[in-house]
Amino acid sequence: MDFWMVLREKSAFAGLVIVLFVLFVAIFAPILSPADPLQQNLADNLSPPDKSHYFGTDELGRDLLSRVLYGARTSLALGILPILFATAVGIVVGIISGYAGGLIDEVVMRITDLLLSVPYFLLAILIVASFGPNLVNAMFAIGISFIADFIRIIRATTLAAKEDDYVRAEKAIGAGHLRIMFGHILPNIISPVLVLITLKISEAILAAAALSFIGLGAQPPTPEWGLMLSGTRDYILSSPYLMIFPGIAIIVTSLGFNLLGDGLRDLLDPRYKGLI
Amino acid sequence: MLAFFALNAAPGDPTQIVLGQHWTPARAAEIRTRLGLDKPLLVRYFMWLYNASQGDFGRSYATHEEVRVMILHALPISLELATASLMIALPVGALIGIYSAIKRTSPLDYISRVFVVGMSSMPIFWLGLVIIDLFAVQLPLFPTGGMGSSLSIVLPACSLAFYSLAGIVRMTRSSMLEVLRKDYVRTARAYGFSERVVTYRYALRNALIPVVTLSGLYVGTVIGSAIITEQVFAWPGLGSLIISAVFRRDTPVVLGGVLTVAVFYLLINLCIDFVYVYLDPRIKLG
Repeated sequence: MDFWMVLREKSAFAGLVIVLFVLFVAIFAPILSPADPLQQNLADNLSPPDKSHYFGTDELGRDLLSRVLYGARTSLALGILPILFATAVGIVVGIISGYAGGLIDEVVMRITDLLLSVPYFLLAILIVASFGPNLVNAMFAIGISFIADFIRIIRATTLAAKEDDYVRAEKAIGAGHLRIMFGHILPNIISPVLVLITLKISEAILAAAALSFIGLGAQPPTPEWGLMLSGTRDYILSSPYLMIFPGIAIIVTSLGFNLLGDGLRDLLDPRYKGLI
Repeated sequence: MLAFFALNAAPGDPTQIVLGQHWTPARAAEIRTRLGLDKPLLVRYFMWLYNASQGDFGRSYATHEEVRVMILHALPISLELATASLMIALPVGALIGIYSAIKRTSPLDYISRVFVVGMSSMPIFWLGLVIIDLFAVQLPLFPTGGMGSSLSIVLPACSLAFYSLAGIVRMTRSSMLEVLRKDYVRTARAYGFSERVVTYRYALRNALIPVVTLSGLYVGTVIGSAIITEQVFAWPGLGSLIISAVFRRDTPVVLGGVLTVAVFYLLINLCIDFVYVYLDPRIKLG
């Protein structure tokens, strides 16, 4: 899979553009924002979108456009960091478990069973509940709740790869287990893992927004899209625009990763093309 | 097996900053003894496990009500919402999925695919908010939340159904497409059966098998969405109970609620295994 193929696949390309755009916004939020996202101005609160505030202002008079732009930072961090954590754990544990088999595999599988016996969002709520609601714990919780998926899938691909000729060849020339696992099996199974990462980031962004929405993720006054939406229910009569922009921001970001992941999967496995 | 997922719930246990508005060390110690919090964590855990297996989840720290009573009160309310939305989502989702697969690349197929991708990128609570805005505020047809009247269930059920629909459409469609190009479908066509018979008698039954398997995995997502939907629409079910208990640090209620949901989750997956056997007689339960 090389980079130029990604550009030729329509949905992957669209997804890539969206993802890069959101990354750009997140990085350059301070330059792009017309105002300080935390600056309150109670005299000018709940003003509908106009020339001075393109997206309007929220209940504390903060500029909504700036908050949405800065929110890209929090939301991307909440989506990407937990998944990187889950991927790292998944790769190490999954490959070892699949490669070693036997008792290790059995124990690992029972632990993932345990994690999977509670719906993942409930697991995240539970973790945040026991360690206290804040941004770091939310990331941790989301990371943990996705670990089992990663371990399972990486283990399954390792099981298949383990029987391939190149692994036998490596064994025949006396390569060590570590070298076979991480020097040879890992590069061979990395493409499906990339697809998984992309698709799961989209899920994690939604889960993070939902956690923040119910008050268990980012805490005020952090600009975070889910959190920004959670207050809007009270103003739905007077200011429906409050919920439009953060919502669209979440959808666009999540859609970008979804399209990219779907597109990458089609590229890797043309059998599924058009089947979603 | 029960012990197994109860262990999951254990991390929520060690929180004792509860009854303490009038907190003094002496009173705190007294309360701790009364609630059994002075015992070592492991002992408490096994006591809780033992009691829970007898259906006794203890009492709420905050209201002193029996957790069992609170759960038994909230559970039917949640089930009502879940049943209502499934009754909409399952048939509609399956139908759209089937048509989308038969009439591949038709405008309907295209719309349904856009719908699926869009839905899987949309946060459920935002969908809920938009639905409230449209059908309770702009067009005041339904109440915005709570369960005051018989119409209250319409909006939360529709919003949850809409959301589950996307997954069902996606699974049915891809599974139907897979089956429609199998040899036995071609054989059935070659025998001269009508397209209708081929689709529903031969293809659909086989296509349902992977759908049933996948739906087992999908149940978890739906439960998560249901918790949030209850929150958005102030629906006083199990999800709302758990979340409000989390905020009050009311550990027994959280544990009891989570355990109940986990038991239901496993029961549903067990039922799915049975449906599986019914659909495919080749499979036997071990």
